[in-house]
Amino acid sequence: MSTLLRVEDLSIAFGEAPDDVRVVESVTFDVARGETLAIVGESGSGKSVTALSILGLLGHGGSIVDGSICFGGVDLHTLDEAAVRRIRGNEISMIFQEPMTSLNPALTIGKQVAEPIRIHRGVSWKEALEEAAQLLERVSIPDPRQRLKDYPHQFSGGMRQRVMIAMALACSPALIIADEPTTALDVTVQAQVLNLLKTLTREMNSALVLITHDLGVVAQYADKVAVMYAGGIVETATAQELYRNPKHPYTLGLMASIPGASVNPRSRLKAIDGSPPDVANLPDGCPFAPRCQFAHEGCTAFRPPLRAVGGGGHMMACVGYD
Amino acid sequence: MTEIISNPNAVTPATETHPLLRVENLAVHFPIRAGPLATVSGHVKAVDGVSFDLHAGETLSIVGESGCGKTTCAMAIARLQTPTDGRISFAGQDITDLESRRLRPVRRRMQIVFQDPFSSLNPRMKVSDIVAEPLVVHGLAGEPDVLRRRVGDLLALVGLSPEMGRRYPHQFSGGQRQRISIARALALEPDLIICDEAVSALDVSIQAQILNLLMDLQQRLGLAYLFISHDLSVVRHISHKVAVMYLGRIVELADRDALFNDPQHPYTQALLAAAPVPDPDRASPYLPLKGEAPNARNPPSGCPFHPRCPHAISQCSTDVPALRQVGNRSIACPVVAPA
Repeated sequence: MSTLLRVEDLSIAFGEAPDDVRVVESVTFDVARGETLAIVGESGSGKSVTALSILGLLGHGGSIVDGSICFGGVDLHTLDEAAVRRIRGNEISMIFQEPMTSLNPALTIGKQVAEPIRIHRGVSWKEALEEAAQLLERVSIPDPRQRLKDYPHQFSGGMRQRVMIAMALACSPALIIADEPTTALDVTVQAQVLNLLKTLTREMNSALVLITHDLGVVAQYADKVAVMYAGGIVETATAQELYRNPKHPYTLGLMASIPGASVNPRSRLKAIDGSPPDVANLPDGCPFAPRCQFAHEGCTAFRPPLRAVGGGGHMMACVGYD
Repeated sequence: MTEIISNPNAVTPATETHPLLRVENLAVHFPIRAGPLATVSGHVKAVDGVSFDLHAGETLSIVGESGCGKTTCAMAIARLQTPTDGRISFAGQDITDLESRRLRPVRRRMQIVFQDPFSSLNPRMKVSDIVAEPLVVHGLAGEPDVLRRRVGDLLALVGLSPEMGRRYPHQFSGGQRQRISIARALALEPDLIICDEAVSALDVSIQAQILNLLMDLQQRLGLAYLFISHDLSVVRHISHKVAVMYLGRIVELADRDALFNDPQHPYTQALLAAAPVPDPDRASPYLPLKGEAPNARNPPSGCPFHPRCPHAISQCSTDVPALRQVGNRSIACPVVAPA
């Protein structure tokens, strides 16, 4: 598989001065066509900001201060807004968490699904609407031609998220970024939506970047995983390798925090002490050190870079132990 | 610190005959109003015939998807929602129709921790005042010195330092705020704490801390929890007994191990199958579910689950199945548990 997207040494800062608050620090990952990469982390770990930066959607105050985002051989960061707009929604598309707020309540579903098709392919509204109906059918919305005339409030949460997927797939993108696509959904609907997303990306041979906080979802749907903490990737590996052989103390702590079948019911969970640091005020050295049970003096000297541990691309950012 | 917090009521042993909380045929129906005169055109049966017992020192979880009635059920038990029908007995007393004055002593023994630690704490009050408020309201505050010590002990009990009482809620993280909510709930030394999605808004590493805290407190103080949640892995961890709700009704009620190791109701099976397991090598053995939960305004006839059920027979679309005791569980399904 050849690499479709390669993010290298990406750093993102928010604030007036360019170096004000570094919310993402030297993040590197890649994803190939047909592959699903999960970026997993807790609130404030920088996973969503990383995803938004790929699409040039950082908004006011946020900027890429270092690194490159290489998509199909082009550094997206160097393109002007018009060039990015041609790629966004066409070659790269995004699915957001909240299907309630990311659809326009005043426009019919048909209009919203057909819009990217019309803009990026230059076809007429009529042709675009016909294609929109086919897309709704592909995401298993019953009676799609009739439903094109409906408004978002007439759809359930699960159906709205399927509409979002239909919109994201409209131009057969090479890369789909899904930011917590099922967090707002019930678990039976979540399973339907994720299965659908996985099937369709496989059919189109697209790459999928799945942003999530749910280690269960990661295990069931991802090929590769990057674990983020306080703006940096602390460990990355194939999904199987990561779950069988987690190395970084934070990953170990996360895994031990999940209640469920593999832990004795009503036993004490091995929770990580304390809470994640404020990215505006990170401790010296490794940001996980203050919560880490293996930490020693060496951990506060510098922020550890990713290094290979074992084969198959398994890497972690920790100097503390092996 | 424990002697102040220790709970004289908590040592009552769990017995079959005297549950701490008994809910019988509880129903909460909301009128649907339509038209210019807002005439009642029907009812949403948010909770419809729910029964269960909860013993002292025990955790009963109610699990289900959004709209299944689990929160309405909890609010009716706390009498924050008026029940339409049925009976709620708490510590042997029928509290279904108690007027608010006589409800007060009951509320002392029954407290709630809500889901959102950001909106359930008053941002203008200092944390020490938030924790002291239930004591003040119930006239148990005593001398300022005693109260201050008491609040300090409560904060220490949930793993916060007493000095933190001088701060305001916005100065705390989500997990710390949930600890404050728990300290407030503990102030009156309740026998029962209703946790309505109490850990759902928390990150997993923080969630684990709060679950540990809840279990520690249960062991030390003999608390009973009515634990409302949609998260099956959390429920599996913390519960003694589990009730699965679908569209206002309990479809299966069993001990934790019986329910999770051997789910019998088709909906329970589907719910467990849909929950992603944090293990890439484990595929789920049950059938995935089609469709979505029906609208409670217009529920299907018969068993509310029959349109999505892989095992439905003709009887399912006409008869509402009753919850029936079969072996080690109660179950409402004519196919799995025929009359």
